Amino acid sequence: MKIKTKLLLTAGASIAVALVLGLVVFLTNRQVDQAMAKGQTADRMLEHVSQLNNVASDYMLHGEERAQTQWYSRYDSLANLLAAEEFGASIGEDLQGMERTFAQLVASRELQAATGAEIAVAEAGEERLVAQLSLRSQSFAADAGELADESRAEISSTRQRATFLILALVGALLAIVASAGFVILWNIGNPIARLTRAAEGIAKGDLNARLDITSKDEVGILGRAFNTMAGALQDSYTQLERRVAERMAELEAANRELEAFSYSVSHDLRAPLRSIDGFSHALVEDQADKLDEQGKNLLGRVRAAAQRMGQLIDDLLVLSRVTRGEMHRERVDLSGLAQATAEELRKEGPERTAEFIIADGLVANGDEQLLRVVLANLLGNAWKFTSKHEKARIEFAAARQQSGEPAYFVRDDGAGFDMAYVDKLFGPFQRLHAMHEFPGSGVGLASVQRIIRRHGGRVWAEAEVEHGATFYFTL
Amino acid sequence: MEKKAILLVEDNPDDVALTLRAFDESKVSNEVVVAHDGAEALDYLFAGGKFAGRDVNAMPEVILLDLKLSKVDGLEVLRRLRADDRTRLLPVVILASSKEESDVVNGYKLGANSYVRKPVDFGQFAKAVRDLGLYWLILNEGPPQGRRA
Repeated sequence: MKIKTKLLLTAGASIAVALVLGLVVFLTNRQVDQAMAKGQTADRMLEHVSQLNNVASDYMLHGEERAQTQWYSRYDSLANLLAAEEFGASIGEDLQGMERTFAQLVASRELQAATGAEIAVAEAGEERLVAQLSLRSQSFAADAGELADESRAEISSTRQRATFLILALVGALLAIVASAGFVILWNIGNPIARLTRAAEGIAKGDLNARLDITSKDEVGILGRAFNTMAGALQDSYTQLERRVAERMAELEAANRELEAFSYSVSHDLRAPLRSIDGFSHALVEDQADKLDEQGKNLLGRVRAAAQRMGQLIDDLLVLSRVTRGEMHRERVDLSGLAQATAEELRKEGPERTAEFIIADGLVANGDEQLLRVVLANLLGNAWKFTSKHEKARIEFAAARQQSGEPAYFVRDDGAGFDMAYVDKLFGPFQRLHAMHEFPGSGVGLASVQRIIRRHGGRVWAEAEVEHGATFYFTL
Repeated sequence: MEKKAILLVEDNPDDVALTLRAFDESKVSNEVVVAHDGAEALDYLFAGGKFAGRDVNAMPEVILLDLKLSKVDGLEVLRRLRADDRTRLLPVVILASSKEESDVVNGYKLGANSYVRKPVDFGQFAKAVRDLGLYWLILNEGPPQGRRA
């Protein structure tokens, strides 16, 4: 049975019981009122009867017309009282008997007064009538008294009955309320607790949580719906996982292909270059007497081109490794890396006077290998573009930005570049200087940008022609 | 003292020519034996194939090994000669085109003694060869010949 039905039933039952309770109270009150009314009437009748007797005695003593009239008027009101309540035949008879006796008494007196009959006979007859009257009125009074007693008894028993009934009904009401409470607790509260636990279980990640609810009511429907939902959730989760795994496999396959490609490039492309360069050299050496300056010059250019291509291939490999490889984030001593790079650069060009100003204690979170590449490129560029100046000043430090993040920068006072071309700066193979001015493949800054981007940072530059350049980056 | 041979394992004929030229220029007068692929290299070392009858006690002073070879590749040659008592101690210098980390690591893992990347520029290449010669033929003490490992 549905919970709704059960609760409606209990509500209906409570209402019914309440109604019955009301009815019982109402009826009881009415009965008590009626009984009380009867009692009161009986008491008034007693009063009237005694008054009637007094008036009768008065009449007997004085025989006045006034007393007679009084007696009859009293009699009438008593008869009215009697008629108002249904008191039974015997008491009515008594009253009528009293009236007849009194009428006889009156008739006898009037006869006496009219005829002057012997007093003794008349007195005997009168005494008898008076006795009869008294008897009748006593009987009446007794009846009235009985009636009064009856009504009091009725009141008492009605009250008793009513109390009993009311207590029983209240008890029934309590039982109904209790059963409603029980229904809620058992059919709703318990399952809800289990539902809550299952939902929490799923929230925590246990997608196997299911409800074991078999009832056919609303809670059962909810339980089954929950199970269906959990099942669907689990399915979609499994599907997602599978799709992620598939995508990962695809990505890994693509990565492996890329690695194989790079590997092939690094071996296969360089070999012919070696041949070009080597045999050109051999030609120049072996055929020196047959070649003129022009010829040597031409072969020189061939060799230079081959070497440049070799450099290009190396740079390309670095660029591809930069985007491909896994990043291992750790604490990196940027100051240390910069110092090491500066040392290498100094060794490459010991004849140069260059001042390296490297701030101490610069640490960052990132991939050490890749950050090494960044510094090598930026410091190497600074070194390269200050090569035409007698003295060079290269600085590596950090500046605090508005956002609170530090921006690292490499600043040099070398050739600089025209800010008009700043957008092209980081494109691969983009160069802002002629090859004979400053050699380079144009891949270095592209690598730097990719590495910085992989760290989630930005890189930008400011410069002025012949007044140096500053390259900033965040991590 | 009899000068020991150098075994050059290289499949690219251009590279062979250039290497021999470089050896000439650096006045290396040792005999240079050229194996043009991995199988030939193993044949030479273990006196098989066209080298049958060679005196296996006369092992080369140093082996210059390229990685990308046909038939049997460089790392496999390395693995085999490190697996054999007769050749386990021979100095092997990997002279390769690539600087790929995986190649370097695998080379050392399989027991190479040195790893040198061939520069494109011939001048640098010649210098590298001369330095290699100076080191492995003159400065370095090789394992005693004729003794099993």
